[in-house]
Amino acid sequence: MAQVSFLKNRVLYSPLASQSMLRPTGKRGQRNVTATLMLTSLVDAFSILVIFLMMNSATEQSDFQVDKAITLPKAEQSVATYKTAVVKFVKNQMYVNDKAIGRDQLAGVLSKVREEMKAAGQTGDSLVIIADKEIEFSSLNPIIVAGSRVGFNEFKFAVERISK
Amino acid sequence: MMVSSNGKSGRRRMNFDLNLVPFIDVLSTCICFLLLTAVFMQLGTVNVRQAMGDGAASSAKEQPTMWLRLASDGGIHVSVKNVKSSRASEFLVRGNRQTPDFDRLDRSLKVVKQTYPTLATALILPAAESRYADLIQLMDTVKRGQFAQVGIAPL
Repeated sequence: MAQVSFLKNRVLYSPLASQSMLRPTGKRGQRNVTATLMLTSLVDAFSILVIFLMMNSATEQSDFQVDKAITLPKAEQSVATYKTAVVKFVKNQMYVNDKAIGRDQLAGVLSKVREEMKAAGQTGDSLVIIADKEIEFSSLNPIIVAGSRVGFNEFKFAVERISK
Repeated sequence: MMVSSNGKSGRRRMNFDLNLVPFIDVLSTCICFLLLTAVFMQLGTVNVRQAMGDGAASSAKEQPTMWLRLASDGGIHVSVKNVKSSRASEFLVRGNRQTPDFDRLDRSLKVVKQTYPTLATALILPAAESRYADLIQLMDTVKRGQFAQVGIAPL
């Protein structure tokens, strides 16, 4: 007696094949197993997210970068600042426009930076100071003294803006 | 209204389903772009002018000026100079555990502003051990007190 595969005695019904318009297989009038996805709530959530992100990007931003090692102090009465000389004080090292310098070179480098700013058409009166909130003022004093000596008469201390 | 089609009687469907999938695609693209360009930490600057030697600030020696001396123990000594007044123009705002009491200073500055409405210049004299965060908060408090011209004196 020839062995007959048990599959030949079975009829396999495919839910997708039964939905076919050309050659539907399986039982006719079969129960539809596809589920409809409600997209309205997804559209609502996405719309709210887009509106929030657009409102967030509408505020004016300063164009200087802060290292991750620095935690800025917070202040309400702050303004955005653009295109000016930047002095950073990170881990007892000074950086003028992202170039590491020694304390004895500070006045000379700031003088060159101010001349470059004036040659570029900027006023050259302001200096941005970026430092961690926990340091003492004695660490920043050389920057203020050297800056005022070369002609910077406005000092801008970088802060994290907080809402009023 | 009955609309016949192909000779067969039947109503034409007046409703249609709005396909939201392209709309979700557009919103997803907008969200991805805005997330990449979003800035969640707002950076700004507190602007001050340097006192003691600057041409602009040297004139402050003649005009009414409020001096705020930040001590290393957190105390803030406030004195108003170059004013004609019979009221006391000096006071001390004691600190709280080495930290300046900025709330009390804020209230005191409001009284100073009421006493001297034309006073607009303030000079801050920090100590060498003064914390940078305390200095910034002091400048912030002074600016909030409607003192437009704030200067800082080096050591």
